[in-house]
Amino acid sequence: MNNSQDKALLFQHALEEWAHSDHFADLCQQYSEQPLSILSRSRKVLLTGPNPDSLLDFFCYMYVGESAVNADFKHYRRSKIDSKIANLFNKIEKDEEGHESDSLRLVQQFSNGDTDKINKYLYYNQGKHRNKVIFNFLNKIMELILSTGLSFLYFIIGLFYTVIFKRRLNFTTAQQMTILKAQVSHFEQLHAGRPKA
Amino acid sequence: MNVLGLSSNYHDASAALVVDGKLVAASTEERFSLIKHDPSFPLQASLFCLEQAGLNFNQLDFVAYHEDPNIKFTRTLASSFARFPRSRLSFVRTMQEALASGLKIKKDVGLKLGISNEKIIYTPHHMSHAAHAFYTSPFQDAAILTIDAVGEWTCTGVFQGHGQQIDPLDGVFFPHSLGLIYSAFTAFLGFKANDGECSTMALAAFGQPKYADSVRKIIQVQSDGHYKIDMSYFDFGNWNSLPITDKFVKLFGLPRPYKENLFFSCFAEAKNPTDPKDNKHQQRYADVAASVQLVLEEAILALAQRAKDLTSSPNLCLAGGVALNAVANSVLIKSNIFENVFVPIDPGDGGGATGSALYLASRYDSLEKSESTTPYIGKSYDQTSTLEIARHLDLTTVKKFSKPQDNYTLEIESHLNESEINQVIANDLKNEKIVGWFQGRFENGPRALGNRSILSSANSISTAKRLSTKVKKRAFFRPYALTMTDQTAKTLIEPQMLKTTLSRWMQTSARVNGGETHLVGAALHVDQTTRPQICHPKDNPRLYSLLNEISRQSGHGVVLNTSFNESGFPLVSSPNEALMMFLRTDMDSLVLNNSLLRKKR
Repeated sequence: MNNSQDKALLFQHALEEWAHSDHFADLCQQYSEQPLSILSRSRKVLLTGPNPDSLLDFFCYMYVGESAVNADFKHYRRSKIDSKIANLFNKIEKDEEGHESDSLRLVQQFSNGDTDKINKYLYYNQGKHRNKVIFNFLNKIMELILSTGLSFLYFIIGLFYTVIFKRRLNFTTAQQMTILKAQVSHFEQLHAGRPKA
Repeated sequence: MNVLGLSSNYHDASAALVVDGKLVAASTEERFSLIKHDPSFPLQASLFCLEQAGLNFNQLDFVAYHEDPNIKFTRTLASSFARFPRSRLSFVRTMQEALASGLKIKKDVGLKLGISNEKIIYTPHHMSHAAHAFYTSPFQDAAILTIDAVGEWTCTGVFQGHGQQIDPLDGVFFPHSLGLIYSAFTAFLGFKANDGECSTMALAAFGQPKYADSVRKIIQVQSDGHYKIDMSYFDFGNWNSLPITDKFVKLFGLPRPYKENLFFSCFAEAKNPTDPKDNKHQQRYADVAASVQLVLEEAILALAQRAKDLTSSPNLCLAGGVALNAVANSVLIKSNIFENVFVPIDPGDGGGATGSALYLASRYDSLEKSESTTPYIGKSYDQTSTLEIARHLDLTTVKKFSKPQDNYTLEIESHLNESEINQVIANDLKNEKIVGWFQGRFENGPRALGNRSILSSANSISTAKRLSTKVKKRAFFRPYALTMTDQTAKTLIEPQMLKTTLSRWMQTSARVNGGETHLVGAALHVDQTTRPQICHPKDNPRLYSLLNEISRQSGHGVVLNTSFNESGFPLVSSPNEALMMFLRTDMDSLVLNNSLLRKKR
């Protein structure tokens, strides 16, 4: 991306989003009894997002994301939520609308007016966004099934093997050292003068 | 031979590259993902390491992973079932993690890096720590002590290093872990475990060890140097809430709610509590912190003595997360059990990748030992694009989203020479400005050592308070560190700490000489100590020349130095991140390599 003004605009968007995340972090702290890593978690979601094949693809991704966020915010604002949270959504709604229109402008700018190209990338990114929502939903169901199965497994193993595990925890230092030395010795034998893989 | 070291899946995932026996690059993943203590697979850090050496993944001979996940899995299972039938959730979580990534590390690494599974080798966790400490030390022969939370089954290890050989001699094993216990106390004191341990250490200076005997009931140091933990006080399957039992609460009282502000302050005028009702509890928290710190130090000294008895070496290499405890390190140095003590740049799990790579490389190559170690092995960046951005920013919008929203214009100068920048910055510091200092390759490890640092006057308490409230969002009870020239250190710091390499990289605390405390009041802890970085010309020539200019303008080559990051974030890595923090907070000047940005108010 060569245009410095566009770069600066995106930088400002990042600055605004960061300020928004500060507001949400403050709210989280107000409602939480434990020091949480909410910010880290949300950042992780963002980082696993785009893997664009062009700037146009990236700006379409951004536009789809900003539109979805705006729709979500409007939905949240209409639902019965705490006044503090509603105020926050009111406060940041204008910023987010600005992001949506800025990203649409960038989409148009980087497509050189080629509407077919725009539609292709928009459909693609909308599809990706929709798939992500479905994937997350299915993932939750899988997690539920898996944890139910693991809970059964826990009681079955626990009934028969708890004593063995407890015994393992009570190994003496000498027993533990024997295991550690064997581990190290095994490693060193494997890698003693072995030619390069 | 090219060996890439990796650590992941607990906290501080990292990558390091050793080429023909020489460490060429290392970084934690957090520096690229911006997620503090990021545990996820260090792909971006790996890419950086390879890029630094001009290699691709196909050119790697081995990938060394910092622990054996299969053995670790047996420990987590045993730990879960020891509390059967109350540990169902812990078991489910353990299994989910194991199925998701824990038990298929080789497959994951192979897929992500595109290399064959045969090249991926597990190294024992504490051997990785030991190798990191010994191979980056200047010693040919040393006792090695590793103390952390837990790796596979080992919580504490004693090793002997000689030449390129490291032999395990002794250990203390799970669940008897000093690291876990210190983290549990950290959680009890209202800080985040695996992150707030430095807060516990800082708080300890405000208390008296009134609860030391109670802590000794939990951490039982034995005559042979071993220690045992009475686990009836803890419930380590319960990190989502507090990992302590009612028995613990009976000894130490109720835990501190994390939202409760602590009134303690390092800055002289705010030391005394105002509300007697708060005072009782707040003093108890400080006393508990002082007590656990004292007993930790006793346990470390006993372990050090055992290491000495087993090896008879005059040298000690110390590693593991507990080696980040600068106060305990100073006690160890002063005990004179060992003539020389060395701590690697990143002794915690962030350094696991380096240790793992060095350990594997040591089996094939002659490792390059040097007299001095360097932390500056991270990535460097060009600032041109960032300056372009800064020139085109709409400052009205920027100010709207910054704290504080004061009025300024941005003055930007590029292609300045070193002395021009030094003169401006030294003058800014004298005038109580807060300066972001960004130079060259970032530091590996958790400390800001003059390449990603925030600097301010060492004697201006009002600036330090502004730094705490409007830049770092940091409680007043946490002291700042000092960076000084070797010449200034001679008059400022107690003599015993001038010799140790630990004082070159902020790894120990040191008492400031009585007559000199007024010079460094902004970075002085309540017990008149500081965490020094004594800068020698060859350590960091760029920083050294700035310190000399500060000395020329202000009379003393010393500056307050804190990490260039906002609360909850890792140290900044790129110039864009530095600019973002500069704009978001109340910093006054920003140096990006040879460019200068200043807020003109």
